[in-house]
Amino acid sequence: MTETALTTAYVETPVFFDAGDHSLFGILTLPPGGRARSGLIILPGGGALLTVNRNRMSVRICREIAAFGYAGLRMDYHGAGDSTGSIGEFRLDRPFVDDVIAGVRYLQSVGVERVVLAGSCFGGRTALSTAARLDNVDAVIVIATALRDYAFGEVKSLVKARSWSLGRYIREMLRPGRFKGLRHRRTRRAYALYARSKLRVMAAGVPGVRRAVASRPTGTEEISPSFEEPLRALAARGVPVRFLYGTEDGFYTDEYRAAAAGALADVLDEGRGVVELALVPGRLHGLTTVAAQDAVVDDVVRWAAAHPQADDGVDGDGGS
Amino acid sequence: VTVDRAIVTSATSIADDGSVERAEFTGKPGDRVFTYLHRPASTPRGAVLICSPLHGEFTRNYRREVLLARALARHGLAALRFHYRFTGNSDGDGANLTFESMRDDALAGLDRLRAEVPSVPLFLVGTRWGALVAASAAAAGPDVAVVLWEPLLDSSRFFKEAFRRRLVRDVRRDVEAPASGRALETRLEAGEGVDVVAHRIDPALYRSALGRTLEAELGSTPRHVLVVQVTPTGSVRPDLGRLLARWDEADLRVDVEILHGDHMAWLGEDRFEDEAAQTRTHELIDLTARWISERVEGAS
Repeated sequence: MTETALTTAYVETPVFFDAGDHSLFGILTLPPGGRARSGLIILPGGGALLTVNRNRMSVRICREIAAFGYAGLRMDYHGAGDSTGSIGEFRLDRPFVDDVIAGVRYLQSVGVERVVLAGSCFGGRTALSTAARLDNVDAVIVIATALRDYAFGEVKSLVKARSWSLGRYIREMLRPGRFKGLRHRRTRRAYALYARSKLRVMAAGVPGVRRAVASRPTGTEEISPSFEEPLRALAARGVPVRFLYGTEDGFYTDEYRAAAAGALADVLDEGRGVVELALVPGRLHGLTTVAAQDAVVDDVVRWAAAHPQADDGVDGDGGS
Repeated sequence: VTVDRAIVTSATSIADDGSVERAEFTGKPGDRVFTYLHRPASTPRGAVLICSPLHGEFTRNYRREVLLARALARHGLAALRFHYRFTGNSDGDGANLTFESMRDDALAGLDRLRAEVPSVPLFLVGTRWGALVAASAAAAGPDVAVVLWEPLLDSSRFFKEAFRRRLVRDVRRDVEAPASGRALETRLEAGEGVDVVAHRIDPALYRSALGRTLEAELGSTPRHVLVVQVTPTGSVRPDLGRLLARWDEADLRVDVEILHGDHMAWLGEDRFEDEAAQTRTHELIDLTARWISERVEGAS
């Protein structure tokens, strides 16, 4: 049985599509006329692996951009949400490109010819890598995304390694509850990560050792090839890439600014008209405040409003 | 799905084991509930409605509920999951969410199951806040058994924990004047929403939920109940223990399962863990599916 359900502002339907052996789940939101030639796929980061994203951000984005003629697809990666499969490994340098290509192909199958890919954190890296593999991407929106490669939880351990004294580490280590944690494999892994991060930060401060550390950078100290290569490919093709950060995001203050002034100066130069940087006050990464979520939703919707799409029965300036 | 020809609001997927999953928006435009029905390959011998927790816990528990529903289908049981109106993929603005609207959605879910899978034993599964909703919906009929994962015994506990999380976050971020729990309560009482770490609690939900307890919501009608508690101590929490004693006196047939591990605190850290390595999740799902299966066999 199928039913018709039109709301005043959008039309929505759940969808399944295949990506390799997996059946992926998504929700397609269309403008009131039920068709669109351009679509936006919004990809979550690792903290909220779900179609709705953190606090329904993806729901809001998809429903609001429908007013500007866009189809919106919010989708679950394989092994997440309502999709099948399981995620064996979750790494920034191994984005789920095949999943998103399957999403793009699905959109094409329903008449959505051009796409914009947007994502936060892991989703941003996935958007970049996927866009470089496709020729029907009009733009990429990369939200609070690392330029370097971190393991899940590594950012927090590095922040602690830089801000906590050795004495604080020892005091934290000796707290009674810590010993109980040793019984759990996951907690043991976390302890090891914190210890490694502190040792590395300390070693980098020792003359002589500093050079050795710098000459053998880890994934947390160099720009990831899985960030740089797709970005360069997109820049060469003139595909617009919009970076959105909070002014207090470490990925912006420590990584993006350094890259823009150094290794990626040629690509991140806004004067070339390909890369665009947008900043909002505060911290976006993790999207752990409603204010951060609102800022992201507003930015993406404003971007869509500035690039309205027209289609049969849908006015370019809205229509609802 | 051909969008050009018809606007459809449902989609169906058939799994390798022959079970069928149907995602669907039900209800009137602007008031639709997102539902997801799992039907086993064989004729269902029982049906289960899954009531999710709220906010950050909704996200953290989501995959567990998906895996539970798939496991239930493998046991020959139908399962219906849904997003409360004003949350998730359902329609509406979060400001309108109330305890009553959640209970109404759960009752609609039970009606849907009775229509889709008539004349089979019915079960409700609820986690944390979802346990309060499941208990409240179950109270509307004596024939429904209930599974409660880490149930909230009192709605005020949910708010207190949320406020404490926010305080911790503010202190960690060196916020100048972190809001105390009392200050946040005052704001809610004055009709103002509050941000509690990535989510917003609105006055309508706060007011509608105040004073609600699991004991009062479930009532004293004899029924089968399974309570699952995840605890690092290996023993039942004292407050839960006292409630279990009272239920025992009231002739509710209550089973308790203890899973050893960290408490599933809502708004906890987001940590990715390989699904295959989540032994506690698999244990939780296995014991729940087994318990429900045994009750179905007992009923037949």
